[in-house]
Amino acid sequence: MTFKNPPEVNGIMQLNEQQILAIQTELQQIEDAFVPTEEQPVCDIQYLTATYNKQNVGNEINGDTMIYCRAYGLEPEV
Amino acid sequence: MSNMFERFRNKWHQSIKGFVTILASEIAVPIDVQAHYAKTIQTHNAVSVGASGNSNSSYIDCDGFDKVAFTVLNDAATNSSVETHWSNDGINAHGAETLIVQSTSPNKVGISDIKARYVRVQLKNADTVAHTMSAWVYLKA
Repeated sequence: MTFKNPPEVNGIMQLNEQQILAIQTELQQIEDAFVPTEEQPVCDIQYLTATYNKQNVGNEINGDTMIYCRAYGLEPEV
Repeated sequence: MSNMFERFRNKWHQSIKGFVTILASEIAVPIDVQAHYAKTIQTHNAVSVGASGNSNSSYIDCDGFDKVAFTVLNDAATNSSVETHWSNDGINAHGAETLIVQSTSPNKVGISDIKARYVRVQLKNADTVAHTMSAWVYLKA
């Protein structure tokens, strides 16, 4: 058995800037379209990642990559 | 000198006669257990578990804990299960068991006694497409 790599395990995937920005845009669209329900009251990591993955079968990401992509290009908090 | 002798004699008499003074601060008052120490660790952060595939976490040190509970989220109501792998060195698996049997419940939970120093979680996806899953362990002392 070989070792698995992200997104099949935790860790940040190796992506180029173009891929990161494309993921970032799609994540923002998912977040904007989110409507709270009793089952899913907040737009959390599991929801964002799972919804992105359902829309991108074959190009899935994991939660660590999702967090990295969302924060990419943002100014660090002081 | 006589004072010292007096004190020694009194002490000796007390021990002989069984006189014991217990101060309030020395009495062990029975109380309810207020809290147990617990520790939460996320083993899988929304990982994509492939079709008919699995995903292992890293080994977690259980030293000092009595039990470990697990919760698992699947992004859909599809067949999945959870195995725990126990290890004495944190490298090789020396014991494996199915902790949560296969079911379509998207939110699973299980608990186990600590069986070795290290444990890892294996999420098993029995569906024909990949699913996004998260898992947490709760160490309890």
